[in-house]
Amino acid sequence: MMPDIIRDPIIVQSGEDQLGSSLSAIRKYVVDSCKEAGFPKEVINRLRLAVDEIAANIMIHGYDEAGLQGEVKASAVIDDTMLTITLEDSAPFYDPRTRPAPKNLNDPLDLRETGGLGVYLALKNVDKFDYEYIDNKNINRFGVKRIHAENQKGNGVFKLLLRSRSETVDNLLREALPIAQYNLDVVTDDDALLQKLQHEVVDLILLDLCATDAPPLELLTTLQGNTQIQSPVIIVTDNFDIEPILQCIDKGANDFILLPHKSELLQLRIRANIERAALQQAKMKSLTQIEDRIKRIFTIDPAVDAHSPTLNIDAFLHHVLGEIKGMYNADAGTVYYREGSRLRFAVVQTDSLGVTLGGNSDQPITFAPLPLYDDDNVTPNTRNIAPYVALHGETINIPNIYTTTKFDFSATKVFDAENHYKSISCLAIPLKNHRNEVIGVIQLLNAQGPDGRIVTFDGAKQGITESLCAHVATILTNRLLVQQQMLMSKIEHDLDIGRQIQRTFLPTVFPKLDGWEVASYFQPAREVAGDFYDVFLMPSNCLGLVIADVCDKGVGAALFMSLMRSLLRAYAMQQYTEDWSVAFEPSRGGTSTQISPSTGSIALANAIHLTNQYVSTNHGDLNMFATTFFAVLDPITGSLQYINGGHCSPLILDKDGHVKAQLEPTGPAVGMFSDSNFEIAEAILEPGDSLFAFTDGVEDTRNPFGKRFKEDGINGLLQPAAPSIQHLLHRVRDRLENFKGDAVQFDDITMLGVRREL
Amino acid sequence: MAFESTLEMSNGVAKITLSGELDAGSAPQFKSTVEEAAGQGAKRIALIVPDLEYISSAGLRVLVFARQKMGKGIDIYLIGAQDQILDPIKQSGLLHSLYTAETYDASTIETV
Repeated sequence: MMPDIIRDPIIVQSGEDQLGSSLSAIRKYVVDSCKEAGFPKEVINRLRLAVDEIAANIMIHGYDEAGLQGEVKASAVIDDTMLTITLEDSAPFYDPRTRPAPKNLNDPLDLRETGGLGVYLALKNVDKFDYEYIDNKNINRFGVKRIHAENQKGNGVFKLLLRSRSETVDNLLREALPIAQYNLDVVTDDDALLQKLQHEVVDLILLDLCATDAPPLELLTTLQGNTQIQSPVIIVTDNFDIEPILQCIDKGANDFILLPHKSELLQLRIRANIERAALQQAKMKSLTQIEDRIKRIFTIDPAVDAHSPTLNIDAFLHHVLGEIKGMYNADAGTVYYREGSRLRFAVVQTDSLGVTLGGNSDQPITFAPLPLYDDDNVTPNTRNIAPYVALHGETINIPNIYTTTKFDFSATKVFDAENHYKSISCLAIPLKNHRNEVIGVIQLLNAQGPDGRIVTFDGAKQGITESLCAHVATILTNRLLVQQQMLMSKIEHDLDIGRQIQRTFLPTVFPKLDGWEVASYFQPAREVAGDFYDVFLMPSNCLGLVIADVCDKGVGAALFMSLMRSLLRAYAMQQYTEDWSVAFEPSRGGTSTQISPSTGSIALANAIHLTNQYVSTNHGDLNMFATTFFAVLDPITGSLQYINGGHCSPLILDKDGHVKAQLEPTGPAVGMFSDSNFEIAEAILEPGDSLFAFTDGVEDTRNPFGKRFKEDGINGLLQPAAPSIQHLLHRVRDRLENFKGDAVQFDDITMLGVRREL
Repeated sequence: MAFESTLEMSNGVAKITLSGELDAGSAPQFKSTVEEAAGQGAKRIALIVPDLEYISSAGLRVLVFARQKMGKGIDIYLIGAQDQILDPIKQSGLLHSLYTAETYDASTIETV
């Protein structure tokens, strides 16, 4: 129990010329006393006004107007519960409490009387006022209750607004509510109340039921309907008549108070209502903020528009992380994106360290993905929290990673030590789509309270956050499906182009030559093949015939094929060669003989050599090559000059279908080595003879039991002699189809035939 | 703090700047300024009070006097009043008889 503080009093003089300085001195004394008692600014202002009003009255009405001169003594005592200022004067007896309050407080200025205003203001701004007349002295005492720290509302007071016409009610409330904590303002009618509320915000509204005829239902309805007015409303009554109270509560009143009421209980009821209303508002505000966040995640920024087919997943996840971190005011967060059986780090952000990796930033993420399973690929990885969440699909909330026994946070603790960081609270949420598949995890660290201290993640928001994450996951899944579809469409489109290119390159209509028949058959294994054939007229009316097999398949092989085909044709049209000796190499195989240079052989040599050089030099790193058979046929003589670059040997058949010659390879595949040597060989097609060329897809065709066609062979198909080369090709084709059955065709099947009519 | 009260006429508006503490001792000074404004035919009164630190009932009475002296049509503006000035005005029920503003906006106040 603290001893009372008795301040040294001051004494001031009355008199017209002293008025200003005396009042000023008294006000200063009051302010200093208040500060010593630890009162806030609002209380100081009110007590200062109260004492000044009475002091002024003493000086002017007590002394001056009575023609007297005298002193006023001001003293102050501060005890445990109160600050008391005392004014003493020796003017004639006057008790301020007998002065009636001004009658028309709310009247417009023109009609106002000002009598009694000073005393009114004085009495209104203190908790306790006493008057005594002792030893011919007027003693005015002003008391303000002191408030203990824990009851203090921050640094301010609660603002209450009372609508009442009863002075009794006004006084009852005033006595119970210390001015150090409550500022009680009074209006006498509904309109004045509403008008006041237009200009200022109060913490609580009190409606007096006592002196009125009917409960203020219309007023309550107006207050309810006005969204600007958020203050709770308490009905004050001295009569426990349930009916009007119920009606008021029905219309929106928050509580009721029966007067008279013990001061502590009254204050408690008032504060409880104010706090409840404040909590409600905070909740609404929080909900609105969350709604705004949700909107922000899914609409605005076109760069992260979740509905765009070109959605950049990492940028979108970065955006989502920012909003979810904001919901909890979390300092750090990581988004993991599931790829197969691992969680890849997509975005990492720690605000207090100024670190952002991945996502929208240009800082790469260097952490290795987290495995979902241990090395045995069976045991789930429950050491780290993110894989656990990914596998179980449930949210985990850890108040303090240093004191929890649930997960192994050793990696996090190492990170902490290295970066002077302290990870404390942790929240991990699955990104679980509508099919209950977890496509990722969001992990947050260190939620912060309003004062910046680290707090546990608020469990109340968990439901909303999980819904949000589920929505994000579903959107991502849908976008991925769309993206995949688009990719497939693009690939198919490209394949289509490849197919079209090939079709234009592979002739089905051949130059018409008297006494000769040309036919082809082409069946690619896939959409885009590596085989090709070509038939074209060369200078001096020779016929160029090509059949080739590119070493690979697919789009790349097809493009290579079209390159080769163009090169062969172009170089074949060249009339000259730089190296005459090329044309004079001895040849191998079949019935060919040493040949003499002719335009045809020059063209042939050019075509193969130059193509070979071009491809191996310019595209050597592609390691693409093609087995190529290129023949130049002189339709007048039937002479066939050819180069066989590693291709399976074409056959020359006689008119009965017997094999006359096999045109063996005269060099390696084209495009392998730039210094390859290709020799020209020659054969003759007599009347009735046919040239039958094919690719190894024919021999490699397998039946459903895996047996190769080669073993049965083409040979059995060559006799009896086919009436036309086309007929022969069809015969082989049909036989292949039968042989193959429903087995998969792995290789392209290409056949080219030329027949000299009898 | 010493009280000061100065008058500046601007397009029919009496701009009265009050500073310091307006109590029973300094109220008469305020009253003379109001009378001076009336003498200059003011159509409107604007009290410029950001530097006014204190007001008591004596000062409030001058406000009532101002309105009653200058007639019903005279609007009184209170510009830049601090909390400790507004509180007694509110408690006395005088606030709704005044216009209040944070700053003096000539375009609204001077269009009489």
